[in-house]
Amino acid sequence: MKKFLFVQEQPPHGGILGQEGLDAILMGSAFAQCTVLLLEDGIYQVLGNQQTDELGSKDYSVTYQALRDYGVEQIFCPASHLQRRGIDIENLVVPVQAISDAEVTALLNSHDVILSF
Amino acid sequence: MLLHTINKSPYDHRALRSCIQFCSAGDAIVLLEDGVYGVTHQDLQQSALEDIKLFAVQADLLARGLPDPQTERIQIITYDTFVALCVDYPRIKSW
Repeated sequence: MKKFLFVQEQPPHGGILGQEGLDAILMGSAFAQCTVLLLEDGIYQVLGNQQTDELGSKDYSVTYQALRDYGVEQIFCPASHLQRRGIDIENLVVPVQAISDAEVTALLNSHDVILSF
Repeated sequence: MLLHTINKSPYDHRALRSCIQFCSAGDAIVLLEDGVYGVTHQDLQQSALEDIKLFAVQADLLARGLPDPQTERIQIITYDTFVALCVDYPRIKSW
């Protein structure tokens, strides 16, 4: 089975790219082994306590919680990108593994296909 | 071995910096579209990038009034060569 790495780099409510990426992960999980890497502002997609009622956009952070049911077991983020934004991993809606820059490089090199959103 | 493509200006976007943060020896970086504004950017002058090949697409340089970037470090290529690079490298990361 091919290994797909989905890289999410955009914050959630300034555009639709993040949600499109998440949809692609859900579809990809049907036929490939999928891993998620959250880079830069992509980590904001899974920050808890998003209240979008007034804005009228969808809080799709909860959909990340369903990824496990689709066989997407691992979500990674470079510790340096968390640190720069002052984000505590406890405040995310899903378990995210904070990894070193070298581990991100290894992740990029160990997948057959890299899809960035 | 990764082919990194950057199509955004390094002066307005973190793409180049993120790419440099995670690239490794044997990789190549291609600057295209607005990414070619990075040809003279100081981030590409780092010694840590010695084992990384650097390319910029000529058509995009010409279109933006950068016909002759004064850098020996970056190889100027055509879009045909860019396509060939995409085929040669096993995986591509678009920043």
